[in-house]
Amino acid sequence: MMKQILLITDGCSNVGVQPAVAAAQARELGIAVNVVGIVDYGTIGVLGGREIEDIAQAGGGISRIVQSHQLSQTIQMMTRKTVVQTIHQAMNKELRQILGADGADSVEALPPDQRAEVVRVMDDMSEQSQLRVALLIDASASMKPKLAAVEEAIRDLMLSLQARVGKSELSVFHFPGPHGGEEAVQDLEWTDDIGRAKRLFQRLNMRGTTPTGPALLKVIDYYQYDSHTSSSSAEEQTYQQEGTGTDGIWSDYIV
Amino acid sequence: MGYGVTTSFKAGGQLHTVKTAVRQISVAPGTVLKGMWNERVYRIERLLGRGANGVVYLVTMLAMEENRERSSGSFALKMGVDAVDFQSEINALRSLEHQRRTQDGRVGRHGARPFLVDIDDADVSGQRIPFYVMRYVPGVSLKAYIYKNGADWYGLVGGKLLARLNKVHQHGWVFGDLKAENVLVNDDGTVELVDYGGLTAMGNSVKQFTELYDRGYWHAGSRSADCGYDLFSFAVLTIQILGEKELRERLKASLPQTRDVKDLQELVRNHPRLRPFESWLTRALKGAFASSEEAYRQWQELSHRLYRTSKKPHRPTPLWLKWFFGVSVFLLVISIALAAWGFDLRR
Ligand SMILES: Nc1ncnc2c1ncn2[C@@H]1O[C@H](COP(=O)(O)OP(=O)(O)OP(=O)(O)O)[C@@H](O)[C@H]1O
Ligand SMILES: [Mg+2]
Repeated sequence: MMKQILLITDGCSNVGVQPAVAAAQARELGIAVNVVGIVDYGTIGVLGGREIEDIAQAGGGISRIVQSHQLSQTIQMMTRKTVVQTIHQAMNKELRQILGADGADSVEALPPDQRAEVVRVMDDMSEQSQLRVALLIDASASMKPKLAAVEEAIRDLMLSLQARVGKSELSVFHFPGPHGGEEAVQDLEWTDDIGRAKRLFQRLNMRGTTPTGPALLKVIDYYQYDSHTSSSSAEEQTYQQEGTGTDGIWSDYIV
Repeated sequence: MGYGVTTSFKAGGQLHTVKTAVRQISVAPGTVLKGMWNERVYRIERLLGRGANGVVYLVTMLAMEENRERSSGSFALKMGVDAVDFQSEINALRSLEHQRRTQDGRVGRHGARPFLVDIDDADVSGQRIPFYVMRYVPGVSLKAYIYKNGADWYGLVGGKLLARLNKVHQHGWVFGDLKAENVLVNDDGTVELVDYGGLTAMGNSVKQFTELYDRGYWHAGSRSADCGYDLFSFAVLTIQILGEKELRERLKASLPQTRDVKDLQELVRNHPRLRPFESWLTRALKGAFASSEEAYRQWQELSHRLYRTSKKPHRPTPLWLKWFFGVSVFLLVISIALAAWGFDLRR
């Protein structure tokens, strides 16, 4: 299964562990972290911009800074890119073993016929693999005017996920929670039902702090907790060992 | 899932661009490229167009004859930005081409000349760039064609575009990224689709789309590839070409949360140039066509009727009337036969 966290924020964290540290932890566990910064007026600031980049880099994902009207297509594209990237990385690793090629762009280096075959398999996998995306929404006070766009973007992403052949699920968290002790609150459990992704943030009590790092950790824990209780935990294990679960597929096509 | 909205589009007067090219490929006219694998040689003539996924040049294929270069025809050469995405586009196009060749046979103008001519890599200033070569379409975009020649042509040209889409569907594919720039019309009125980056096997998630033409964007259905997906895009394309100003105004006024396909239907109803197509467009927007075959047939019927100005709307003959007619003919034949027989007996 492919696992992603998508963080949507509009500024700097100001409480708790550095978010990049949390993102690096996610990456270790096979979860890619993507980050979108939303700016509607002005800029996100040098600090905010750097933090967003750092989180995505540590989390092995992509970062983008966009306006709210671009949010839907941005997160759609990032999610898809990350799926392909995950497959691509796994495949490059194997290609290097098989061909002894060096560098990260082994796919490009293949002769046309083999490249065609490898990409065909990659396409099938990105269409058919299972996918889970946990959305983590910054709901600090400054995000309030953007939440309608966020909700629409979640609906839109759900629509794209539903169109995949492989089982795809989405879950939504926002942070900070209403009380001091809570880093993040779950709005939606794993689901593929678009009807449930409506009016998520209606009665939200928006506060000032931005505990991005702790909130990320909470989502990571949710992933972990979930994979222990789910019936497919045996499958999860192999996934984590291999990093991607794509082992052995390539050799059939390449050699 | 959808491969992303990789193209830029204009909505509300603003240009939205999401995926920026990782590498900007630019080749000067006069440059000679040689494919690394097939070793065919091309001379770049001029830029034809640039998109989010690649750049397309008009090229001349050069053949070596007695150590002299001889031109052997004009083609369009597309270089890809992202090797994996581009290969995916080539794969889809190649399968479609293969099916066209094996299933359609070699009859007709298009059977004789393949669309896809060569697939190779070239060394462009030290970088290995994948490219493919296709038939050059010397036309203008559908939008430019209608602006130049007038909206009267839309019925005819639209029908040809639907016929093209119908063929793609018959082979089990959905075009996906149907939009004004990807439809080229030749001087003789023939229509050609370009940019196969959205070409998706039916049942999979649409690989590439542009928001404005996307069924999901209008809250009107899924992003799974079926013929209805392309027909929906065709409807939006029609609205965009015949009622551009009104569509732009409506987009400006609507919020993403409240955006609805009903807005499009209403626009069609209230627009003098779109109203003649209302019955067809409404069905396409609702996803009510059973097949693109049916959609094509209805479009043809409608556009043929369009220029024959009878004031009262034409009604199809009701079924009971057809039956009635059939039965009457039958009875008539019987009575004639009986009469003849009776006549015979008396003799
Ligand atoms: N065979 C052809 N003959 C003539 N012109 C062509 C041909 N193919 C492409 N073009 C021109 O080049 C432009 C860009 O090509 P294309 O749409 O394939 O690029 P792209 O990067 O995939 O674009 P997009 O951003 O829309 O995905 C087209 O809009 C068209 O004007
Ligand atoms: Mg294009």
